Amino acid sequence: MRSTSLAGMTVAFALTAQVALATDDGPLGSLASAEEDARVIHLLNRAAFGPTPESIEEVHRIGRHAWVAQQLIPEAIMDPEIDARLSIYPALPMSATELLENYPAQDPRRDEPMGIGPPQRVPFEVAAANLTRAVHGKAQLREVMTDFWFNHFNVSAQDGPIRLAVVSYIRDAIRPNALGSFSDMLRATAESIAMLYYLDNYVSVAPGSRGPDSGINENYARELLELHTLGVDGGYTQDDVVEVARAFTGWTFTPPRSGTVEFAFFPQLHDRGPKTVLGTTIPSGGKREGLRILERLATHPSTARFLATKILRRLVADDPPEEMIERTAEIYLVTGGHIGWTVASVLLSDDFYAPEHRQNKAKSPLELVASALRATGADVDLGVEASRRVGDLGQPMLRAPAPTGWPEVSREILSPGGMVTRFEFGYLVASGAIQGVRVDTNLWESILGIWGTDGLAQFLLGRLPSASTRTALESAAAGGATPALLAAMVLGSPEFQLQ
Amino acid sequence: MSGSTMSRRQFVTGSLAAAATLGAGPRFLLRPASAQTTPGRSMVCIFQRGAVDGLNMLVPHGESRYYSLRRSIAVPRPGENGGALDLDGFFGLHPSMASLGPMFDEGELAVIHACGSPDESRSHFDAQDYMETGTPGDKTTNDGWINRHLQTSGASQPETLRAVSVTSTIPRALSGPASAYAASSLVDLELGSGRQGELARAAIGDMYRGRTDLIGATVEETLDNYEIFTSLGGYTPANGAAYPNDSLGRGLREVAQVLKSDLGVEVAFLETGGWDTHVNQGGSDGQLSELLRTFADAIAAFRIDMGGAMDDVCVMSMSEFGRTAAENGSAGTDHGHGTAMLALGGTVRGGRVYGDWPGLGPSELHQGRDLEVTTDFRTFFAEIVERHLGNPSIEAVFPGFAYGASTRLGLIR
Repeated sequence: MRSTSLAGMTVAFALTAQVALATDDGPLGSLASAEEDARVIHLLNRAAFGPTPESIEEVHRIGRHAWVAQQLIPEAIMDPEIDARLSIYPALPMSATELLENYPAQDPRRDEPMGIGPPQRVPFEVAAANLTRAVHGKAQLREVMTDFWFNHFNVSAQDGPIRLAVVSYIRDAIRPNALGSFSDMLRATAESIAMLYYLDNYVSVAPGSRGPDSGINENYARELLELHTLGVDGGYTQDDVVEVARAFTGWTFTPPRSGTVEFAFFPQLHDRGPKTVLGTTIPSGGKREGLRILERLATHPSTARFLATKILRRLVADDPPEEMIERTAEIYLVTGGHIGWTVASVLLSDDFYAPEHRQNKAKSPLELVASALRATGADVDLGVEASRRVGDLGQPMLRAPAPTGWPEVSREILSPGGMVTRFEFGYLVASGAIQGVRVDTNLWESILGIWGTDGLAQFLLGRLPSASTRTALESAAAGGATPALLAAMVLGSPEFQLQ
Repeated sequence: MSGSTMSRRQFVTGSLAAAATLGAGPRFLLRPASAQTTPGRSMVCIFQRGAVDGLNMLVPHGESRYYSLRRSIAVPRPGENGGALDLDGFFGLHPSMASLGPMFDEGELAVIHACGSPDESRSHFDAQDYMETGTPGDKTTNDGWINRHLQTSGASQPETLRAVSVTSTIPRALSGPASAYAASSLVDLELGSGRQGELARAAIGDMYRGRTDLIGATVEETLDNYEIFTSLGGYTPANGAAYPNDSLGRGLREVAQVLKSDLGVEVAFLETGGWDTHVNQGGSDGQLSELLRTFADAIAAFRIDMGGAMDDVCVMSMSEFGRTAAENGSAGTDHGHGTAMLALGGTVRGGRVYGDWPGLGPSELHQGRDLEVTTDFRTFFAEIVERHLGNPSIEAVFPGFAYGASTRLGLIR
């Protein structure tokens, strides 16, 4: 056991609100009951990016259900702090025109950078902002669902106009609808520059309308049915893919050389012939054909089931129980595809807290990074380096290479080699070695000095460690492990790696 | 590896219930009479994700249509400025792949043209999935073809690390009941240095030991392999081999080290990206040229580094499909069908371009736009599994695929 240092104590008391509650029981104070505490941690692991001392206290204070209710209306959550933190990323509020002006392709013959920087800088700003929100944002459930929906409607911000368009894609299409109407989000993605480009609909035109070889491109139509709505077994055929592609011909955007990039429907590129989708005739109606199809898809029973399964896979279990899928799909349908209500029905159910659903999923790379920064009380001043760490762990932010997005299930997230990176990441955080992120690394020694390894584990996990983690930490401490290594081991424990 | 905890592969492939029924042993060990592979042979697979333009990688300079279809991006004829490196009077290598030229001349490098999937999908992820499961058109396959090769062929020691992937997670081709190790760097495992590192590994072992879940089994493999890989130490490539400093170059350098150190690794998997060249792909110079240069240089460095050990190694490249025969309106190419693949090694009957050339005429192109597939990718893969690795169970590795002496390319000696 280390001796208590007065300076360390001061730091500990000043920097964590939670320490104010400290008693002889540990740095988080005396906990209500082991079961209630476990439920709070579980809720914060799934509906937020992991617990912080403050969020644990808040959920205990107002109750789990009330906290969920609050999170469902993110517009009502005042969060001036996050606005201030994000003000260092100039791209975030910019229009397409402003982005083109300020992030131009660079002229290699000039020494001075043109504008703020090259277009490829923009995705780094967006990723850093997403990570900062995941760590510090108060509307945690919205951030969780923003991550979920971005992955669902994946675009890869590596090339072409997506590098700039990803700003508006997340800001205007995904985040505002993440707990709202699925139909609204579906339309917003269909009309987004990012999606029009990523899945090539911008070049899908009526045969012959743009030169002798021009014609439809099925890419978007296929993914719309397979990945965005009905699911691969949702009951559509190859003919449906072609008919949907024909209906979306002419959905494109204005060329960047016009000075801005915005959604446009060009009737002269649209296939005016009759179409039949899922057995229903779509009356000829230009852009309205596509809108009609989107409406129909958004409230289709196959979509309800497909989305319910994916939401439950994120919030409950890799292989969610059939009974929960049916119930959640039903809620989705009766609420007209309202995501917030659908998510609430999951989070407020007893099944959500069933013992077999706790600690049954590996954290994804983003969940691991964000939760570790939250647990350690880290301050993200500049999120670029921290967001790169998400990539080191196997899922580079905004750059999933395929329209399927990153895998959600543990068996595709964990690998033997990847565990090394996960353990090493814990050490980087605990030793304050991530650029742009401030961690009070003196805190570990202070806590160890007063409460020992149990207290350190309790501080970082939000509750007492398991018997094997406790023994492991005690042996390591006895063997001379540094405070940072002990903190890293807590972040590497099964309790922290799982959620 | 202890027998008391369940192995990761059981979690990867099936339910806990299935694992419990089978007991603690890996499922593949329960198969009767598994075949023995040819000792010492290994296969290095390189997946070019994003669909490489086979027509600019292996240029059909003898076909005039190639030049009329690709006015701005064609690679000129051999002898012209920036021209292709002639291989056989009809095909030529892209000039930026010059480092592989000598290997073709020496009969170690073979090319399979118009190779690809019988499935018509132009979706990257469907086509990659199909190429990795080895069952084109069937999405219900759970395991990868390389894993099925491991399942149906015996290692001398059951718990030897037989397959590695230089990727952050296990690729589809390697996933399944047989054990495989994946890491973005195979040899660069660091859990803290010196005494602190020892304490960290001990603590991790203590925290995860005895867990009967996926993460417990995964960490157990991590710690087992840590011992293996850290025993390798530093590495200097042999014969002055100079690897490009990109992920493929670094990955192949590690694979060379692992293969030379006799750990029992039979399969290595690597991947490289950037091949989806829809816009401004370039001809002799430009975007694709740079990608092909580092791709070829990495493979050439590996071959030089391996020296005589290359007799037992086969390097093979693959990509999910090819690209449109004609260039598109933005000086690039769109998703197509047939492409070209490479095989390099001591057992390869190289110096030849394999496969029937379907031609680039309007009626010869697949759906009037893409290079036709005349060699099913499984013909290529199966021949390496059967003839190079010595596993005769092709019907298990590629279920439903009709393979036999008459369909072989004759690619492996």
